[in-house]
Amino acid sequence: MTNIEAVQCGAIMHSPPTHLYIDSTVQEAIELLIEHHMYNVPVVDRNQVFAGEISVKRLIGLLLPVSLTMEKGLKNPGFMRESLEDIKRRLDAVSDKPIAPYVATDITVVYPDSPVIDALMLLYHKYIRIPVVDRNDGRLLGGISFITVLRALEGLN
Amino acid sequence: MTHPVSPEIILGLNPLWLSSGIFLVTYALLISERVNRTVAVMFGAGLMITSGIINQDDAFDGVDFNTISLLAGMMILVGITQRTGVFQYVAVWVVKKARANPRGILVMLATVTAVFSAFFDNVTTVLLIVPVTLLIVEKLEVSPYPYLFAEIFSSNIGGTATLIGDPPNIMIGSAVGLSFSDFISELGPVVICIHLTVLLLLYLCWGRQLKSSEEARTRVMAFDERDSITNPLLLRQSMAVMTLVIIGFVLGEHVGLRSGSIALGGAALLMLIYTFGRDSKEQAARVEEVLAELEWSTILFFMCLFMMVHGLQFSGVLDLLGQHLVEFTDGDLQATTFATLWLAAFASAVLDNVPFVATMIPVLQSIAPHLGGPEDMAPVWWALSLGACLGGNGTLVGATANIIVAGFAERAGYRIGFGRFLLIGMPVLLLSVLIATGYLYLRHFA
Repeated sequence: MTNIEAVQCGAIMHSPPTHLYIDSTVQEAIELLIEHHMYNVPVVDRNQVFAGEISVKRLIGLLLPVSLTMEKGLKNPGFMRESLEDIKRRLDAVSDKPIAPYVATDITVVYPDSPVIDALMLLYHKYIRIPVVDRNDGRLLGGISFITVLRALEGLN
Repeated sequence: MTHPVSPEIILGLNPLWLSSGIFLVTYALLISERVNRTVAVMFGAGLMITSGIINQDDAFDGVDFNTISLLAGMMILVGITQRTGVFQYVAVWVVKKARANPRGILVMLATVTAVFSAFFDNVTTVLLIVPVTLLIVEKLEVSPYPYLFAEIFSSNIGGTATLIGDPPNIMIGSAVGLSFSDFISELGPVVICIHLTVLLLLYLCWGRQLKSSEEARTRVMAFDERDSITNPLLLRQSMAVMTLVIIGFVLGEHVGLRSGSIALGGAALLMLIYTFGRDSKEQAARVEEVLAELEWSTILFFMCLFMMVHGLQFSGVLDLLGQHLVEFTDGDLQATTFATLWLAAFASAVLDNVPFVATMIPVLQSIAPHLGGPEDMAPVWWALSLGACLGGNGTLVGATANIIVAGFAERAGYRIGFGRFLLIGMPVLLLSVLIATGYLYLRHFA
């Protein structure tokens, strides 16, 4: 009988991943997202410990009045007449502020020794990219996306 | 009225003590807020029955289904109406009528909140008005605090004016047989007076600070309220049914139709219109959608509360409390009226006014013979209503609407803490209850 070894996330993750620091500014986050055509970016502290993710969706929220993005906020703001200047004013008000308040911290992570099937299930259900962190000190080690998995499969050929 | 309690009462304990114990533990759970309020009263009602203080049939008899029907009916009517965007329409319309002047907006939005709260429940009103308000103050670049406080106070004051404005009024009206017209004619004038006085107070506190640039006002004047209407046909239908329901409330009393039947009838008619002509799948989906927004936990809360209080009444505790109240006021109608008003106001500032009023109604009913009979009790019932509704303005936890607005403010980055609220809320409570005292005196005792 042949032993089948479950492939682990550490074996296929891309590393080092593109990331932002928790004290990076909103402007820096926007530039990075544009440069890398990403929808979300992992965020770490200065010790490289994973702190969460910043997403395009969250940044779009900064362009809107808070009464539209808050829980139980206005659902139908069709009566508003917004100009580009109005939107820019809102962005300018936060562009040099740190991204910390806008970082989502409830992000599911995997570890280098987690089975790849766990990462695949997370990609299937919810995420575009899964952070891989050190099980002991929480440092960000890499990431796994659909592309990462496909590249690993190409390697088999 | 004391009823014979079941001989199977648990461990042969004194029913008076046992029922009081259950009631106090439930109240403690409600005050602590560590247990959900519906779960707390379910627990209390369940213990009243399982301990043998009251049997299940008698407990069910204690449920005031007129109140339950009125609550459920109005929830359905509001649930469908709010989908049309009419509340945002009115809010934006009045803001533009005030020429986007921050001081004018304060008066207009507070008044709209008071009027909506008189006809819809206070929580729904603030849920719909506050997000529009936050948007407008952001555009005007003015502090949101005066507006948020004005809307909190106005929701509690406006809700006092009608039978359907606040749950205590629904319960009092239902238990005592006071009609929609009785509430409007008795409480309407004093509510208008209190509303204007509180507005003046807020204006004196904040009025001078409320200024905004011409550019900011132009941004608000550019809003087009017509675009808030999402479904013009449903809006017309909802308004027609709401008008019929209000007419029903006024006329129904003359033909023996109670408010609960009228509200449920109106809800049924609007649901029929909302689903008419759709295929069965779409009809089912629409009915599910409307019923999903019904606050079932609130309805269950009321039912279990009625059962629990009925248990207390069965054991004779409420008669005993009534006797003490009569001794305290010496059986004097005027003293009882003002004692009820101030007690209700302060109790409602710190407790949920619904269980308080549910308890007070049977207590006051039991003392009616000492005060000249049920016909002479009218001022006491108005005092209970005024105290219970206006008391909600005293503290942050005095009414659910207060907590909802504070939650919105917090999410928008503005904190309304308990202390800050108390500093403004308590003077508002004292002022409004003083006005209510003067009004009741002039109307009934002068």
